[in-house]
Amino acid sequence: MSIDGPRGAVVLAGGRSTRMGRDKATLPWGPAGGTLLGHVVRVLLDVVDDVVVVARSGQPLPELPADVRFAYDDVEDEGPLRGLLAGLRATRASSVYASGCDTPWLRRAFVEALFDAQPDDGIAIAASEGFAHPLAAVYPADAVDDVASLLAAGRRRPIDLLERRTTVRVDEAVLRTVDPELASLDNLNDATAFEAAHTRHVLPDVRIELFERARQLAGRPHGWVSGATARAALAAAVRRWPALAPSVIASDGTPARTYGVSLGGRTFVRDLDAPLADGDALVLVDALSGG
Amino acid sequence: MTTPGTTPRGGWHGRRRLVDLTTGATHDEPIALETLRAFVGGVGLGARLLLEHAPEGVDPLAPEAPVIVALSPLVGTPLTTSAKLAVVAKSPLTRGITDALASDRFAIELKHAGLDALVVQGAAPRWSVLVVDGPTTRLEDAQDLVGLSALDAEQRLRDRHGEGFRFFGIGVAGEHRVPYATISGDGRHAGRGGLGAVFGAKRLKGILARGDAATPLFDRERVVALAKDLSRRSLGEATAKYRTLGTVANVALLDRLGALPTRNFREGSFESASDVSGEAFHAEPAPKVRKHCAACTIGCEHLFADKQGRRVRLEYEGIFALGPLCGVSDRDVILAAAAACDDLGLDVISAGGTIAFAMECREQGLLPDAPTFGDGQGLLDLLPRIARRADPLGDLLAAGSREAARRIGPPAQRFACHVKGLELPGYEPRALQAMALGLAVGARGADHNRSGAYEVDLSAASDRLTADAGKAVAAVRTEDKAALLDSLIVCKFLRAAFDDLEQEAAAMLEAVTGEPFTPDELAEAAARIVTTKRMFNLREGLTAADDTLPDRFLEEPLEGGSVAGARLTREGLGAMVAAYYAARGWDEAGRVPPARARALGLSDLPQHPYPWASA
Ligand code: SF4
Repeated sequence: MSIDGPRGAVVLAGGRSTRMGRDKATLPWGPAGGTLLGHVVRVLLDVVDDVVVVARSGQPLPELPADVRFAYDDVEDEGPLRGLLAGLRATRASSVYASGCDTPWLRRAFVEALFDAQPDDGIAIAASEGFAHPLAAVYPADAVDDVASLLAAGRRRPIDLLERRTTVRVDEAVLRTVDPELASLDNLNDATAFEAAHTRHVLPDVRIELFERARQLAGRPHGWVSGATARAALAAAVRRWPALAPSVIASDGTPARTYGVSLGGRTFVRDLDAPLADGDALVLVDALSGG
Repeated sequence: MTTPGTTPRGGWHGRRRLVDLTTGATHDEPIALETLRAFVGGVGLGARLLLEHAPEGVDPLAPEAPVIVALSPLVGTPLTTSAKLAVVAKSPLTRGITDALASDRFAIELKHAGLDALVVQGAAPRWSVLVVDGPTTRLEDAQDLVGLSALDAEQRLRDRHGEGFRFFGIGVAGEHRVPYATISGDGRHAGRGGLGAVFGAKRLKGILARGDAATPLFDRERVVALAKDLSRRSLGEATAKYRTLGTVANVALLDRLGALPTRNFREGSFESASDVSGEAFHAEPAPKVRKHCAACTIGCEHLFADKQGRRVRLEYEGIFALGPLCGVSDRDVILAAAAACDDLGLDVISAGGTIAFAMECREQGLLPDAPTFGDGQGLLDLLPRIARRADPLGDLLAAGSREAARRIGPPAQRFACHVKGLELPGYEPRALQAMALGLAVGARGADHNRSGAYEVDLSAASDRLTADAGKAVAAVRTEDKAALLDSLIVCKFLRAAFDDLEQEAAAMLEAVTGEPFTPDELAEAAARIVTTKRMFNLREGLTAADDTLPDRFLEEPLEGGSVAGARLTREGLGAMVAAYYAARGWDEAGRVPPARARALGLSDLPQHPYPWASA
């Protein structure tokens, strides 16, 4: 069950980054001139309608996409719950994914899966090795009052919020169906981790676009999966939306008899085992789309 | 294994009825079993009979021009989707052959009148309805039906004659001989090529049929078993899209692929596609209704409520032609326009295509009175004016885009998007280049029901943005498949339910008719049918020069959408057409060499120097 209505994200960028020794928000990442914050925001913009970046007032921030909005901690250095409050106050969405700005491998499917798991009026939070991750969680926008009252009571631990709302803990096994390496939960805390991060390769995020009958079966027009090749991505799609098998995709990722797979709505994929790039779109096409 | 008979033992009656509307005379003639075997029924039989009955070079609207209603051996059997008929004539829009299918109980009644085909020639002295009542046929005055929609005329005739009769007739557009007028029964239209105008020129409001000669079945038990199995498969996943969404679901996909013709084929994607998508129509709160053609288990027809609460039948082609093609994004306008086309008896594709042409002419200063792109009210106002030829603009556009462009003058010709005079369906040729070939060579003009070459484009089998000669074989295959389905006749929406169409068709025909059929024979029959239509066109003066696309598609890059900039060159299309002729066994001018005619069993027809035959 998930809440209907616009999906948003709140990215907390106002931390002091003490262990990193420099501001995480402006760490260089990706293509020349890119930053870690910019990368996280772009990933989120692929899966939500509204992104709010929460910063300290006066904090230098990198250039970000024009549709990103900003909010500022009214009391600084009080931790993530205070940042979440600012973000929830600013959002135009009905529920938001909360993230730090130091998650270089945040997978789009991971974010979508948490939205999908969100109970009515409640929270969906990633859980691994016995820990819940408040900055890998989806909150209803109207939790703003709960956050405010917790802070007023001097309670600053985000985890306390979970007592106030119905909460679904999405465990590791489920998360690995959308993010096999659980890379979304890995963040960068210090300079050593940052240096090492450059040599890590994660599976590309692939957008699956569904039309006609496939859209109906999956109950959505598109969604993200992780997969190195079209076959792997399609197999991941079946794991996410089992109703696609077998009439659209076989469980091993082979398209059904009359289906083809178009890369980005242009050419059709001939070699299902050829490598894909991060952000590629696979459009599932029924060749009998006529009449 | 059955052995060949000498007269029909099932399926066919072996009889055609010839009607001369001028004199009112009718008589029945046999159709040789050999002919029925060779052409099966439907469009195949209709094409063969047209070749025989149409005087060479006849004006399609002259009394001598025949219009043929051809049935198939499966009509009246329990096989799902088989209650269909083909109407075949020389088209007033293309001046080549046109054949259109419709599904209706009318097909069963006509078949039960003991006929495989009705061949109507002449012109009635006054507006009439042809009444086929079993073995008897008569003309009835229909002056009181003039000006009515086919549906209203049908209702009035049912009130008069009782429920046993079924009607197939024309609306206002047919009465005014609009060369893209339809004929319909129970709201289902034989849509393309202006067959309604042929009826209109004969002052034939329609045909009323009733019969009680049940279709003879050679092996009833086997037919029932096959029918049960086919019905079961018709309810499976292969047809689920049609049952649950209908063809309206194509809008979003074709838009995503840059293949949704927009603003008179200038662009391949519509900025408001999501407003006019099938999903958007389905999401409307007003209740929707699903309908079935007679004898169909699938039921692909989705009726949507318009503002007046009327139920409107809507297909992809209606949305594309009356929406994006005209730049119209208002769902209510599209529904109202589709309802108006149905009511007036206008082919939605040609109506939308001709109005989109006029809109572009307006933009270019060539037609100041025409509406602009996006002017939904202007589009709605035009439809009845076209159908009634009510004023100079309505009369001009009633001629179809090719003829209207000719009358306006050369600058307008660039904007007339047709093949052989028939407006293009909703498949952008530059984005679907196997389909470009299918559209260019189609005997009845640009058409998506006689060529399914888009299936090749929508697969990894070939690159849809390249005009390579390798596409020809695939184009031939899909065209042959369509020819077989349209001659059997079973619905194309059933095609995915067949594992091996020829094999299963052979089994069905054998059980129904008692005649032995092999899959190879049926594959050959399909090729024979396509070649016969070709021969008719060549005889009527069409040439290889007609197997092309308008300059727009060969000179302008596609704008907008995922394949913006896609180009189709004249040379590329030419090479595909040449390869297509070769794959068909025709010569480089698209004529039929004697050896090919012989191989297809057509050597009884005139040979060289006849226009269709090469030396
Ligand atoms: S599938 Fe649709 S078009 Fe075909 S016979 Fe059935 S209702 Fe008619």
